[in-house]
This record gives sequence, C-alpha cells and structure tokens, in this order.
Amino acid sequence: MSDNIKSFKCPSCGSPIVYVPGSESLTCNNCSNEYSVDALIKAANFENEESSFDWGEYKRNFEENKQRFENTAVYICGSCGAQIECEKTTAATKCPYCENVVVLSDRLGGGLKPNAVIPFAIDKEAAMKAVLNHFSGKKLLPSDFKSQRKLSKITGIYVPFWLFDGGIDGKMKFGGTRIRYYSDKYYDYTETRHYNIYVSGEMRFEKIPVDGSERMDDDLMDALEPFDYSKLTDFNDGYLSGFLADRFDTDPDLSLPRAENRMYVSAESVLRGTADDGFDTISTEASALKLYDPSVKYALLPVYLLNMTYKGKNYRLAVNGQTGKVVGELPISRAKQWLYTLGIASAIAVPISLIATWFMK
Amino acid sequence: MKKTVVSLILAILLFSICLTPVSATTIDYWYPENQPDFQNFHGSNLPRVVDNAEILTDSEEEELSAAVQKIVDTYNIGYVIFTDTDNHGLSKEVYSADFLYYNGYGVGDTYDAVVFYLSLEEGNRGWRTTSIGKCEEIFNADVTYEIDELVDNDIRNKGDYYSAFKKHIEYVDSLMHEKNSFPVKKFLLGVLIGYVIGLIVSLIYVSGLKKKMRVVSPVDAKEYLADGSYVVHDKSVDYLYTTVTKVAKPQDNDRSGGSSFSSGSSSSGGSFSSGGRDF
Repeated sequence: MSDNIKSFKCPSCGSPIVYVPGSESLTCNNCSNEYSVDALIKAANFENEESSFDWGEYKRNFEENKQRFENTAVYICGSCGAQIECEKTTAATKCPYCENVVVLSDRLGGGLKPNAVIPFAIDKEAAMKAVLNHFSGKKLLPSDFKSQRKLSKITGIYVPFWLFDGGIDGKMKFGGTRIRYYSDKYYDYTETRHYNIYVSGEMRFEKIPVDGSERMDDDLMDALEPFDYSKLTDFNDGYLSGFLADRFDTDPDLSLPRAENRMYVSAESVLRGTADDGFDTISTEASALKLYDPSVKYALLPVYLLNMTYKGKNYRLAVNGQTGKVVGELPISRAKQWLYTLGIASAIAVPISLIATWFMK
Repeated sequence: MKKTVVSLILAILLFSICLTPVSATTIDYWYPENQPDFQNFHGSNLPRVVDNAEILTDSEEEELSAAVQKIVDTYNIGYVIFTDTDNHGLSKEVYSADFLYYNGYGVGDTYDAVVFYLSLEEGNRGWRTTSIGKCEEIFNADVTYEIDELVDNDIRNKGDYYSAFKKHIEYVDSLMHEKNSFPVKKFLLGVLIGYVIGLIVSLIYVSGLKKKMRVVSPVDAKEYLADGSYVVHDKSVDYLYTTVTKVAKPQDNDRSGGSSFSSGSSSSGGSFSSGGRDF
C-alpha cells in the first residue's frame, strides 16, 4: 500500500469506516463500532502537519505541485488491490469494487494541505429531504422531474474553497439632494437643494469564500452561502472518510477578484450609508477604493451534489452540507408556465373588466 | 268721509295684494294653485315643443315635436323643448324645473324627464338643459357642457334656434341610445383593460416563480464585514446650489366657456340638475 493512500478501516473487523455527519466520530458500516476522529488519527499515526498559512508560501506550493497532477492518476486500493483511476484533483474517493474509502493524502499534504474544514453536519438522507422540500415550493417544476431514483445519486463532496481576508480603504463622493414642496394659489413649487458629500473610511472583511475548483460552477458555489464558520475546525483527513473530496486547482490570484469585487460593493454600500444623512436622493459620483493587506486560507467545505438530466439537459443541484440550503437551476415546465400566466391573468381580468365597464357607464 | 272710505278700500286691497303668496296662478297658467300640496303626477297628451317665445314656424314646431315624441316613446323619458320670454322672477334653472314638475312631464316611478329651455327674457337670455328624476344622473355637468358647446354657435352667433333644437334632439337621441344599448365598445375596452392588468400581474408573478428556478448568488460581502472594523476617517457635506421648479395649478373654470351647472330644488320641492349658458 502506497504511503500516499490512506484508507480508514475498522480496527475491530477491518471493514471501511466513514465519517458520521454532525458528529466527531467515524462508524463501521459492518460492526457498527464508533471511533473518535482524533483517536483514530493517532492510532493510524497519520501525518498531521501544521502549516502556518502564508499566501506567498501557498503560491509557491501551488506552482511546485502543479505539474504533479497534470494527468490522471492510478492508485492501488489497500483493501482489494484493485487499480483506482481518478482525476488529478481527487483527494478522497471510494474504491468502485469494494467500496473501501480512500483518502489520497499526497493531494492534501505539505503546502496543499487545507488549513481548515467544516465537517458535514447533515447526512445523505437529510440532504435528499432538503432537495425534496426545495422542489415542493417550485410551482413551475415539471411533474416528472423529481424521482427518488434520481435523488439517491446525491453525493457528498468536500469542495476546496479559498477564504479571503482583506481591508478596503478609500473615499467616495456622492451627490445628494434635499427636496421641499410648497404651493401658493397658482403654482406648486419643488425646491431642490444640491450637495456634494465626501466620505472616507476603511473596513475589514473576513473569510469571503470563493471556490477553488474549476469543475465547480462559481455562481452555484456562491449561492450556497452562508456557511457557519463557528464550526470551522483544523483540517483532519478523518473527516473526509466516506465522502469525496477535491483538491484546489485554481490559483488564489485568479479567485481573488471575485472576492475583491464583493468587498467593493459592500464597502460602497457602507460608505453610502454614512453619507446618507437625511438626504432625499443620493447618488454615487466618484469612488476611489483600494484593497489592502489581503490574505487567504484554504478550507474544505461540505457540499452535496446531485446531477439530474431532464430532456437532454443536465441540471446540477448543490446542497450546503452544513445548513441544508439547496441551490441550482431547475427545468421549467412550459405548460405550467402558460397555465399560471393565463390562469392568473383571467382570474384578475374578469373582476377588473366588470369594474372598468361599470365605471365607464 | 267718502275719501276716507275710498282710501280705506284701497289700503285693504293693497294690503291683501301684499299678503297674497307668490303662487303659481300669478306666474303662469300651469303653476298649481296650492304649491305646498303639490303631488307629482304623470301628465297626458303633453306638447313636446312649448314655444311661448314664438320663435319657431308651425312646420318647424311640428317637425321638432315629432322628433321629440319619438325619443319619448323610444326611451321612455319625459322630454320637451321649451321657450319663454319671461321667467317670472325665477332663475332659469328653477323655472324650467318647475315646468317639468308642474306639467307632469316626469315618466315612471322616479319621474324622469329633461327639458331644453331657451329663455329670451330681456336682459336674462340663456339656455338650460334641466333634468329631474333619473335623468339627473345622465345629464350631468360633462353632458350639459357638451350640449352647450354643440348649440352655442347656433344660438349665440347665428340666432338659429331651430338648428340648435335639432342638434339638442339628435344629441339626446344618441346619448339615450348609448345608455340603453349594451355598451359593446366599453365592455370590450373594459375586458382589454382587465386583461392588460391581469397579464402584467401574472407576468410579474410568473417571473417571480421563474426566478426561484435559477441560481441567485450574492453580489456583496456584507455577511463577512468584521464587527467593529468600520472606521470613518472623514465626512464633509458641501452645499452647492438650489433649483426651484413650478407647475401651474389646474384652474376650475378652464373649460367652462361660460357654462354653469347646478343642482337644487324646484318650487315643488323636487330636485333637479341644470346646466347651460347665458347670452
């Protein structure tokens, strides 16, 4: 068995053991024994390297390790000896032959090791239930779209995220007006007083998540927010057992603008709030904001993914593995869309027509 | 002594004249003798053109009478053209309303009737379209204004009263036809308005439903603003200038053209509405 492969086996019966969402333990599916994550890690003498995170260091490690994962890799399953072929970014998977859970630790070691992880808090059943609840409020969803058979293919995966910190410093100029209305016998007057408002200030943002996986749709991952960071814990690959996991494959420099733009939008809103001191209208006229002291951490966040094909098109749903929030594009039934449009229009049109006709008498 | 008796008789006569109430009999032949006891009634064989001012020829009067009678028969309302040279000290509105009530022109339980009255009293000339009963709802300020615009030139400038009466009759015919027939155009317009509003509301609602089918990702980072990290370095407000815009208020008499419209009670106590112009 390669040193780079870790499989979590029950010390009692040797069967694969998996992490139980919402707990601090791993369970054997065969003999039902439970083991604490820390105890098991110590017992297996896992490497648990501490890395003081530094963006510069991360950049170097990323560049150094980039070439190692250019191609698809083949691993030998420690349980049955089968060859496991997986993608270059896979960090945890299952043996397709014996269901043995495998963590590819070389994908998560050294500079590639995540700083933190949010463990799964909900299990697969709860995720499926969340998806069904999500469907129940969707009036335009085709009736034949949801089926338990498709839902059972939901998969838990730890998605790599960059968590960006940074400060925004700068100043903004706003145009503001105060309006007064008054009248005399012949005219209605509108008096508008115009002002320039200048505000400068700074603020700090912490842990803005941006997914670090090219395979994940950025908008989909953003929509999963918020994650409860109070549950963010030091990375321990025991949490990965029983789930899939990906390693980052996107340079943090490429991900930063996404977080930076969000910081600017919020900073403008905050400064505007300070400027808006009883004005009737206010508009942004100039903005000079800059990001300072940015830093980044690497974390694995829990996500359930479900791919559903409908009429030849693939729809990917994602469930926040911590909160159960469901996001994703869904197919629209054209028949239902027309039914609702015409039905509501007619229901409103009939009484309004009668009222309008009555008033025109 | 003889002089005293004559003076006394004259004084009594004068006193009794002063005490005599302003009764219908002193104003016109159709006023009831005892107004306070007047009860509405339905007159019979009523003339449809009463030309006390004698401005129409016999043939014109005959033609107009036939046209007015046709409207009376078709729409079941009282309708009459009335001219006079003396309002007997009353306003044109009250005098014309009295004419309707005291001659029993009202039709049906609510005594519905309308008169086009032309006053040629010296120094008090004008016309009024006066209505009673349910006709008050039909001949409102907007309608009487339209009538005034229609007949103004004929009466005021040309002195062609016959033409004015014909136009009034045609207008009343058209108006009553519209009121009594199913308002297809208005109904279709109502349906169109209803569906336009309904479609707008339903499209907003359905677009809301469609929005729920898409991914909506956050655009800001307010969730991640560190508590207590916001520091304002400077804030200043500079006054620049003031602008004032003014909009003229709509004046009530913008469209009057001299028209007046009022509602009130006739001498009989019955209500009326009346609109017209003086010339």
